[in-house]
Amino acid sequence: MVSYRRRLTGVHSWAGVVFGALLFVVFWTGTLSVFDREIDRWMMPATRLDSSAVGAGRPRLDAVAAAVAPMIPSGARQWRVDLPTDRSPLLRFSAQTAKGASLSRQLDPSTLALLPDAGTRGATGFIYPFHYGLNIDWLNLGKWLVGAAGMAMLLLLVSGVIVHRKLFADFFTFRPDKRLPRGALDLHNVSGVIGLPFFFLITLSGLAIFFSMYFPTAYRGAFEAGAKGEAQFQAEAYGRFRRGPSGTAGGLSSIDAMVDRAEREWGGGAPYFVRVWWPGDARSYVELRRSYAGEVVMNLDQLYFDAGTGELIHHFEAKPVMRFQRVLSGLHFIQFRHVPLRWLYFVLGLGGCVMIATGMVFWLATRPADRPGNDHVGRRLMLGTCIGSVTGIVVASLAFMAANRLLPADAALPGWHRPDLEVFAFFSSWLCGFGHAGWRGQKAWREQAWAVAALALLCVGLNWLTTAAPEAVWGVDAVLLCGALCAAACARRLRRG
Amino acid sequence: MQPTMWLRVVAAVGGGFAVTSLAVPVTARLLVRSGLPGAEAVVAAALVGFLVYLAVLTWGLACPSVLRLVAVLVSYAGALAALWRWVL
Repeated sequence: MVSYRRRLTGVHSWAGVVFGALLFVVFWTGTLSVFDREIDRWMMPATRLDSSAVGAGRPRLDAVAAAVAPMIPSGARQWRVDLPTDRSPLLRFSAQTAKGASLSRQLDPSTLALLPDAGTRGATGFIYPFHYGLNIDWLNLGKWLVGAAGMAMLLLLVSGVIVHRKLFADFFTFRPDKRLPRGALDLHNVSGVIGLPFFFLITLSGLAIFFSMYFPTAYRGAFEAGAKGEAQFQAEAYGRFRRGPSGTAGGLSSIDAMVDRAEREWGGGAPYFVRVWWPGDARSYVELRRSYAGEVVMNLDQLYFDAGTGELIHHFEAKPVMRFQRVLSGLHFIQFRHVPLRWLYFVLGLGGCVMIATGMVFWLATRPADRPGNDHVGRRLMLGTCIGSVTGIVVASLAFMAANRLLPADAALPGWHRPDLEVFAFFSSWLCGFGHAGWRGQKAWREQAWAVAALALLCVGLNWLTTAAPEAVWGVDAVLLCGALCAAACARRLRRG
Repeated sequence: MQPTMWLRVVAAVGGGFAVTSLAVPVTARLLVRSGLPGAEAVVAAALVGFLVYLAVLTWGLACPSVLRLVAVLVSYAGALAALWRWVL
């Protein structure tokens, strides 16, 4: 047992060294995604609509369908409207042409007027997809990297628990006045112990969401190998109803009547989006999905109506095991309405960031550059990676938000639209973070902490200078101010070493 | 790192994933045999798969002998493949 524990200590440090930087990036973007809609409101000032009207009742969907009709491309495959929620008080229209190209616009739910083009991907369009896909679509490489990091996280948690025997004592041990290695290890242990159940659950549920990608051959246990069997599995598990167009023209009967019928079917549950497949075709049909704002489980309840006759043609509900998978997904996505729990997720997510960062700092601090046998190049590389991925990505996230406020509404370069320029600001400042860390070494910690404080203050200032209703997103500003204070405090403390 | 260390990492991480990826459809098929609907069996087997892989990693990366690790993985892979090919 003693030697097993010693070997596991090695496993813990090596898994941490290899995956620490990536894990920090995933945890940081995941933590921001907890408040992705709120950051969206911050980055899209035109969408800071009054959310108190949302609870008053859903907009008349027939009127919505008439309002979006001119925007539907001819021969479209589908169009869809996401209904307003209290976190996202707007109508989001999107459509897909037969060739797969897509467009999307936002509407004010009370007037049905088009809102100006947001000119940004926002947190829901950039930070959140980055959290699980790292912006690398090729061969799903980003998702596989995040999945590998997720398995490493589970391994780190299990080996961490076995390695640190004094779990209970660690709860109460934090000596910030001690010098770096000891203080960092205390912080690593205390944040790890407090958040342990959360970290385990959030990582396992994150992996479980993409189970069919991470175990691509799983479906062959019950379905024939190949695309047909895979589609059959998807349909049975997730309930996708599909039928092709006929080519002859058809109409659209009342969507409101379909929603009334759906609410009776669901015993009071309301839809959160409506999607019309093959609009204008005789075989067009309407899909309604039940909202999960009031429950943890992300239900898969869906109803399909014939667009012409308004008749219910297909009905789906998840079976028990799939429902369990949707409970895990719900615990990960937190799409349910619960403000205190959302803050708890945010704080625990930050705790995860602290645990990962202090783990890397401890590893570096116990391998000082002046000790013989410590490879200088390797250590320098590790230090640069560590600083660049920890404070570097915080700087990059703030640069993304600052660019959102600084770029003019019509900013564009040949081949680059405004949203791409914001993403460019993110990646270029991140790259600078790595470069700066490689150049300045240990001093980069302090300098980047000051940069974080300055950028956070700049973001708050820009929100108040450049938008009409800055107080509507006071929560984001408050977190930015707290972040600036924390970063400044860290920078001052770092001077002592 | 010594060569045995590399072998250990490759065996536990790569070999462990291969064995788990084999165990998942086999488990799903066994569950179907015992009466679970197809899609339900696949989801259940895949969810358990993450925990199985975690167990393989935790044991394999720190087990005393690399030879034993490889031997265990190979025999499990063989048994699962045989089950898939001839029994199920």
